[in-house]
Parts: sequence; structure tokens; C-alpha cells
Amino acid sequence: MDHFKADDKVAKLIHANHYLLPVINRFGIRLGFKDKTVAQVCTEKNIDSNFFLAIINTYTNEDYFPEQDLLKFSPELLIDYLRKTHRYYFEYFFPEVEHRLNKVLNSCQGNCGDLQLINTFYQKYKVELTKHLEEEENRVFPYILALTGCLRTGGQMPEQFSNYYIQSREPEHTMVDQKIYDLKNILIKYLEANYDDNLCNTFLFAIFQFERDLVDHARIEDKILVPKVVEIEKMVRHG
Amino acid sequence: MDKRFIIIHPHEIIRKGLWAILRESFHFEFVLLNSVEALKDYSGLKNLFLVVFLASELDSKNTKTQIHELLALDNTLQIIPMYSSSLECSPHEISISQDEPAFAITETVKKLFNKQKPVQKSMSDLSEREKDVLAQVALGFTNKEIADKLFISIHTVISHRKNITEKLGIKSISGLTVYAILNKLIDTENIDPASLI
Repeated sequence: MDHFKADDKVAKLIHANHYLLPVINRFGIRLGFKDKTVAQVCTEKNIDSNFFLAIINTYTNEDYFPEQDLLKFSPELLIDYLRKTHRYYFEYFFPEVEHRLNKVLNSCQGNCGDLQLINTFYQKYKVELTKHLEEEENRVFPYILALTGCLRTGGQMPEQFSNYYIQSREPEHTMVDQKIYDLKNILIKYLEANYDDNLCNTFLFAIFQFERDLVDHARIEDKILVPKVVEIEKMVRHG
Repeated sequence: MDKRFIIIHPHEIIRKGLWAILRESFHFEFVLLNSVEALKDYSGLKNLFLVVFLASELDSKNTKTQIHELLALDNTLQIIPMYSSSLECSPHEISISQDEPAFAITETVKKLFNKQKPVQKSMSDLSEREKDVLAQVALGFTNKEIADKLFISIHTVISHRKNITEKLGIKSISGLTVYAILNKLIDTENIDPASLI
């Protein structure tokens, strides 16, 4: 795919990749774009259009990685976006997926023990992912904000972070991505289909969308946010 | 090895045209670029088989070096020049031309892949030994414990685990556990399956 550019119409973006809908919502952009371009909508909503383009292009094309450009953004912008993503998972995605999964479970005919295993797998996965996201909200993001604060004001790092470095956080992203992939693959390849097909498809669609979102989320953190923070750490703590 | 197609041509009509032809036969990710410089945004690509379709007007020793420097270090790279007429093609190199029919272009690429095809591991069922190892993994034993129980080396356990994951397409321990229970590789009569996942 070609990259999206500032003079592309927002409607075109969505026609090309409808998975972007929740992503643009996180920027406060809602349907009813008319013929407005990315640049116009960004100006209206007071969004940094380079940042917006970087996010939607990395989301659409996993190989796209304009590192120099992306590293120009402040970590605050990234954190704001990531927090909104987390909120989307908690407020929309988890309840929605559970709703869909319950419908599949209720449609089960005959021996449903196997399908219950999928439910157990999902429930445990959710606990693990929640823990991971909360760790980011409660520790990693506040740390980064304190760090960027120090860079701006030249102040000292608060006591609570004195022994904390970005690299000391748990590298859980790969596990979190792997499990959602496994969940999908077990359903697709190994589970006997003794449920309503349409309900299961609806559940799988949600999982596909979520996997995409999660992988992108992890990529933004690992490839953009963390290198940026490591750089600031060097300036603030060793400089 | 995963494959990617990178199409570099100054004209959108050619980029999109080649993309439309190739995606009918090949379900890989595509990257469409209008210049070699734009490749810089893709320097993070790793462990891939990259096929770069390069417009002949951009094809020079210089640009080839540039592409190699950006991509060849971490990937397997094949550059296919794209000529405007088949008269320019040399029989000694793999190339395509814009006056060829679509099937000929697809054939050229298929031939290239057949040449490169590594020995495929059979995706058949797990061997008995792999099933034994998988059952132990599902029961929560560590590699060392599994090695002791099955009288094999840790190295062998690790190699079995790698093969299991490749064959099944399941990576996480809890995912493997679900598979083991579904396929009755472990006796769940006396254990609550939920406690294992």
C-alpha cells in the first residue's frame, strides 16, 4: 500500500482500511468527514498532523517505520494516545468480546467442555493483559512524564523513580501478542465446531481486530516510545 | 521465511498495476514506493525474503548498492529490474517488462520462489515423543524436569518444543495446554483443566 498523506481525504483512509475507525476515534475524529482531508481535520481538531499520519501509517502497514519523523514527537503525545487505547480496551473491547464469546458458549450443542477451555484461556489472558496495562498506567507512563518534566525544567527525578529505568519494566508484550494469536489459531484449527457459525465468526472478527490493535500498540511502545525514553534518560540522568 | 514485495517505480499507474497483478497469486505484504530514497522508512525490516521490483530507469549500480546497504544485512534480497520493453531484457538475469502479459510476470516470480524454496518441514501430526513432551509442558513441568522424566537431554526437550510450536502454530504455554487437553494428551479426570491453563 502507498502511504496516507496529509492531502488524502479522511473518507479514503477508512475505505482503504476500516480497522482505522477506532484509531481515528482516539484522536476525537468521528464519522461524517464529508470531503475533508487529513490536514483539514487535524487543523480543526488541533492535532499534530505528522503524528496522526505516523500513527495511521504504522497501523496500516506494519513495515512502515519513519523513525526519524516519529522520534520528533513528544512522549506526552504518545502517552496520551496509548492511554486512550487502553481505555478503549477496558471500556469497549473486553465487554464486547465477552458478550460475543458468551453468545457462542450459549449456542453450543452437545459437549461444550472444549469451548469452556477457550473461555478459561480468554479469562486468564484478560487478567494477564489487564495487569500489563495497569503496570503501564501506574508506573511506566508516570515515570516517563516525570522524566520529560525533568528534561524541560532541569529538575531532579522524584524519589519514587530513583532506581527505575525504562528497560527495567517487564518485557511482556511478546507474550501478550502470542496468546491472542494462539487463541485465534486454536479456534480456527483445532476446535470442533459445535456452536453457531455466525456467532463464532462475530467473535473471531473481534479477536482479529483486537490482535491488530494490540500488535500495533506494542510496536508503538517498543519501537518508538522506549527508544525515545532511553534517549531522554541519557540526557537527564547521566548528562 | 516470510516474504515481502517492494515495488519501486516513479509512476503510480505501474506500481498499482504490478501490485494488482501480483496480489492475485501472492498473498504477501506489499510496499509501494516512488523512489529508492523512500526505502529509508523501511530500514527496520528483518529476517524476510524481500523481492524488490525496481524500475529500470532507477536501476543503476549506485541505487543497487543503496538498496543492499539498507536491506541486505538482515534479509534475503532479490532485486528484479522492471523494463519498459522486453527488448531491453537480458536472458542472463531475472527481470520483468511492462509489455509482458500478466501471467508471464507471475511465472517469473513463481520460478524465483521455487528456486529458493527451502526444505519444508512436514506439518503432519506430532510424533509420539513430541506428544510426550507436550503433555509434560501442559502439566507445567520445566524443561529440566521434563528432561529428567523422559530420560533425554534438555537440549532435546528444547528442540522438541520448537518443533511442536512450529507444527501446531501455538506459541504460549497456556495455548499448548489447551491443545493438549483438547486432544486428550493429558488425563484431566483428576485435574481441573482450568488450573493448568
